[in-house]
Amino acid sequence: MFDETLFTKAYNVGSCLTDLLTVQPMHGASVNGWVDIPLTFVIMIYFMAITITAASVAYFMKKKNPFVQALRKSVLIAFFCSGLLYLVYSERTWYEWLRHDVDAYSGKSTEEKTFIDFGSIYDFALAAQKALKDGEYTLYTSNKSFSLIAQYYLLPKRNRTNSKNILVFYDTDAIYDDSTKTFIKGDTRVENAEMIFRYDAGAYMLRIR
Amino acid sequence: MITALVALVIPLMLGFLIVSLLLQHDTTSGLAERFCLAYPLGMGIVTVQMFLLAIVHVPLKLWYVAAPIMIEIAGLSLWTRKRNVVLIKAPSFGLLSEIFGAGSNWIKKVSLVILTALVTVKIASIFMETCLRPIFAWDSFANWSAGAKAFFYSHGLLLDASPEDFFGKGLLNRNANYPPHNPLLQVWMSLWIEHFDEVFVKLWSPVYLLSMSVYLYVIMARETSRLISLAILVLFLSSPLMSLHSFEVYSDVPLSVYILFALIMFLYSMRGKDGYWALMGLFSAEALFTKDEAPFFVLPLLLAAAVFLWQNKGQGITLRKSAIPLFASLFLAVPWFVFKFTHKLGFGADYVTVELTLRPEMVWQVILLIASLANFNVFFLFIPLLAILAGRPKKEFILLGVPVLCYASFFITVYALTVFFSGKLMFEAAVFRNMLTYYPSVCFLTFLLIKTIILRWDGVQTGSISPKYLSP
Repeated sequence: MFDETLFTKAYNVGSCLTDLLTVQPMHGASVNGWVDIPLTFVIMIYFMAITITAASVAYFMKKKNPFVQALRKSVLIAFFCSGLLYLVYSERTWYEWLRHDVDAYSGKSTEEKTFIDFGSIYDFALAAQKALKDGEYTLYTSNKSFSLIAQYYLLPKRNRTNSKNILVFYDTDAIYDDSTKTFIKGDTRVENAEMIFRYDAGAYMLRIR
Repeated sequence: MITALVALVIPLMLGFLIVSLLLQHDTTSGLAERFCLAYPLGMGIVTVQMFLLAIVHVPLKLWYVAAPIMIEIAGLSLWTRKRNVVLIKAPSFGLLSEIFGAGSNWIKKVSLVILTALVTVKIASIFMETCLRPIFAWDSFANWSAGAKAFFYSHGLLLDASPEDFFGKGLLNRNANYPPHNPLLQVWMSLWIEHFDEVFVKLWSPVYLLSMSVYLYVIMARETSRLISLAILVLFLSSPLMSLHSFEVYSDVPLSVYILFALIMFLYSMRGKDGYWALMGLFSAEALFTKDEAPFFVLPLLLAAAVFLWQNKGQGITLRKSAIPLFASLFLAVPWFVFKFTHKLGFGADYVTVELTLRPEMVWQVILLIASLANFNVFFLFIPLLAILAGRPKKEFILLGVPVLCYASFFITVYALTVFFSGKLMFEAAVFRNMLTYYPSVCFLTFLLIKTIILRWDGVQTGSISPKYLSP
């Protein structure tokens, strides 16, 4: 009995070999330094390398080349051919990325471009950067990556515990009572916290008087 | 934008003068080749100087940093004049003559035009991406740009800060023991731009790729033909990971350039060109100042150089012209290591701890990742085959190949004997990024194997390359 998954994979590979345009583009992100290439394409490269090597060896041996010489020439031809196929495939994706980036970023300022990448967290950090009078703040957010991105854009101002400036960016446990000027986060209770600006309901800056 | 270009040109000029002085007796290296060597060399020297200024508490402000470099450029210019060193050689347009000349057939001409266009468009697209996108990768922020930003705004390396902030410790999980070449490059750019611009601060990065690509082309074309050289270069540039790393502020591409250049300098040194020993030392030192992995390449390289010198003693190689300039140049990296160890900054990323284990299955995982072809063109796949088919390697190839092999093996040993990089994501990122740092060297070694195979194409064993494979 065929393993159904294996059979499906083999069928997909077969289909891709008959129509190269059906091969999925590579996926990837530079953030984690990886680029994922679909198995179908990898198999296609191997298939091509082996086929070209075998065919060229046969051709060169027919031309009275000794086996080793024929193999040397064939592997070199296979190297360049499979490299070329890889190039066509990878560059197709690369230029698609480039076209996308040209559409998204061209003609924009550095701030606008950064806003495209990071949106409200960047915008909030810029607003806070302007409002911060000294070099320190305490940042509260439930999202660790938001915390790190905000800290980056707030540099050279630094995140410290117990700063007079409190920045809150969507922290589910943080509560601010405007009427009593009290900020509560877990066991931390801060009185006399004045609202400096409110970016939106979940993002604001306070300063302790 | 113009000031960002000035920031790139000044290290280029500094590097160019140094290269011109060191290679004053070398008649083979052309103008383009020297410019390619000059940029990474100059950038490395600029950042080492910035580091030295900062540790003696000179503020990292534009004129404090730029003035010594300007003085050096002026001094070196006078020196080159005094010694009648030819700075600007007549540039050669061999590729254009081959395309438009009468010597080649039309198929070759069309191939050359297509390949040249592919290379040009690819490099131009990487420059375009650099100018389009701000810094976006999380680990660029954490490892390199957070420190750069803090250093730039504080006009120093935070050496007077409290222990928890010393040298930028704790800035977004920054590893304070990483060499500061990359952050200082960003500081250098920012000093000229006058603020920390998330786009232009990384303009130095694709210039490393440009230098490496043109240099590889020139060297490979000289050794075989322009057609072969361009064909290999086009395949080399199609690595998605290298393209991505060339427009983001990572350190892997600069390290890969220093490793490749140190290797090629060693090749020319072995061929009796004395000026290259010092350059080999300088590029090795700059590799050491770029990433913590570099010692695991530089030490085997120095060992290979020692073996070469030992085997060839009494054959016209004097220590005064080989080992002394090589080891003297390495002193460029000494201040960093003294600083690093006197302040107990440690080695490798902060999360790396010596926790040994035995995981031989990781070797198989690495092989699977290499075989998956993700991130790189087929060089890693074909190099073992080509090495077997090329037959008995020349001593020159062994001495070049062993440091790269040791370096690659070091990483595999780390994966197999330690508990680092256990998670799938971390492991894959580590494997591919480490491979990126020796990918250009593997490309160059692959080229040397191809050259050997072509030489033996018609049964020729050794000796000079057949004229039919050489450029006119």
